[in-house]
Amino acid sequence: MRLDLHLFRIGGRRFAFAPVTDSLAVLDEPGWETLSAAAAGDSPDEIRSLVARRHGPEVAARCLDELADLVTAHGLDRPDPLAGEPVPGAPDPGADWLPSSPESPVLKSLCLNVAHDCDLRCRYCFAGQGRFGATRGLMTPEVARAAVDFLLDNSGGAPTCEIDFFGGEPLLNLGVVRETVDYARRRAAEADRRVGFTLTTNAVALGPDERTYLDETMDNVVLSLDGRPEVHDRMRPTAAGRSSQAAVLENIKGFVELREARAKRAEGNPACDYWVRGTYTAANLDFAEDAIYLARQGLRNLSLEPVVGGPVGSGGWGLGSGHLPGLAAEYVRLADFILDEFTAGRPLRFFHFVTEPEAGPCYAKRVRGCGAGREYMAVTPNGDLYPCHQFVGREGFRLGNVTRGPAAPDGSDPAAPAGSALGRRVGGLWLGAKPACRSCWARYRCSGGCHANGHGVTGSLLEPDPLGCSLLKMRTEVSLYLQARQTL
Amino acid sequence: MTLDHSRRDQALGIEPGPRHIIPVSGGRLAPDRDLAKCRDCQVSCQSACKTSCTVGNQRCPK
Repeated sequence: MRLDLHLFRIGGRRFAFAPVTDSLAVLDEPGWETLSAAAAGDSPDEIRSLVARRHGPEVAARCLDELADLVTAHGLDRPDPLAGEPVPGAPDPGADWLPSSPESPVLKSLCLNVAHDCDLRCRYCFAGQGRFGATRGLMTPEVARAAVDFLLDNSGGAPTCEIDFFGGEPLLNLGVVRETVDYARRRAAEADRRVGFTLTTNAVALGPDERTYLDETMDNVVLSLDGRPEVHDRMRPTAAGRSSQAAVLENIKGFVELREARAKRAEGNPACDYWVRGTYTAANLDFAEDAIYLARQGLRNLSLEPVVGGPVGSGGWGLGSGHLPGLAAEYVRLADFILDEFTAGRPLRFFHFVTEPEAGPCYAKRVRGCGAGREYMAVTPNGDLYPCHQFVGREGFRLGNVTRGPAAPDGSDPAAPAGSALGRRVGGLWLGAKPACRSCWARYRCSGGCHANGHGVTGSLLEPDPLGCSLLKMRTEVSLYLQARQTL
Repeated sequence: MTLDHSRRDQALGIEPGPRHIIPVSGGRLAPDRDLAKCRDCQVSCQSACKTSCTVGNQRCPK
């Protein structure tokens, strides 16, 4: 029997990861040889003979006992529903895992781009520096209300829905944010339901009043800060071309102080819901230093993500495959810093290293992925619908508009995007629909990756971005390394 | 790295001694179609990232 295992080494240590059960084991040299042979499909007798040749019969026998224990304890012989190729003409097995059909999606959340404008001019901005390639504009209260109605009317009566305020910069339209929150709460309460709120901000306009409002209202807040002053200011100047890091850092620290105080007061002391999120580029390949800098500023929930796109080489800030070895070492350096902080009683959360072995997402969630175009959509200031915030403004991906009226005489409903061929195509995306992903060892951690990134790089919704794949696998290995070191 | 598996090994009939294969975590994940209709967890992009979301980093609220 061939075991589905991914074996890797980091820092002189050896690890085995089983994708189907999300299991992790640490190995020594005989253990490595044993599991390598098991992954190659060798029989127990073949494994015994192989290991005994180098390490003796007692070690070989023990390795086989421990292998049997691992298989039993972690269910390594559990069948993988994705094994094998899909049968042409047969019903799509993905239908069993999707919570709703692509023809009739049941929304869970909406991203409201309340502002297609921004008070920064970030050089790497995927949103065209806030305006997504179109005219700068703000969402009106009428469009926002229509979006709330659209969400609540198309969410299948689910007890909880979510609205994410995004942009551009949502604090440029805080008045509409406030009105939308009030309206959504009112409408939800009428139906005995609840709407949760999150907001992503560059924190430039995050003054004391804004901090208080966000702390009292938002379930989660994402605050953008790249790290060290020279790193942040290189890529995130203000609209007037000035530095923004110092003011942004001060505002974020003020907000985090409120949030941490709230968490301490709350019964049961729940996790403090904020993330300080930065972007690293080829201009700061030593990004672990930025994470360390942010941690020493007292910011303990961090995310640093690789830039998407951009010029590669000759001083460009875009990332290419040549950067991968150095980035791998940098992730390990960051993991070792987090481990030191953990040991010193100063826990630090780095988003991509946070895994919940006992409380992670279920198999169904891992198989169906992010839900873009099905459970999650984005709305522009004029009410246009897109599969997600990354698709906004992309030619050919507009799904409809939340402000349109009832169904047209021909039966088509412009306010119901699912009926379109595009809606079915995007809404039907799941892990198994991506051929290269079906057999990848990281498939149940990645879930097929970002559809928008893949399409942007390859031109196909079914093919992942190769660089993104490499980075994700690298990060996943390091997160497993960190998990093992924190556990043992 | 060390972990004392001696009692476990004894119960399993494995000879005492340092392990060559040390289980760290896992085994909980299992294909369960009953959970396909559950939608309690967050959509990925609302967690933190917005550009490189990974479903595997999420937490099941149940």
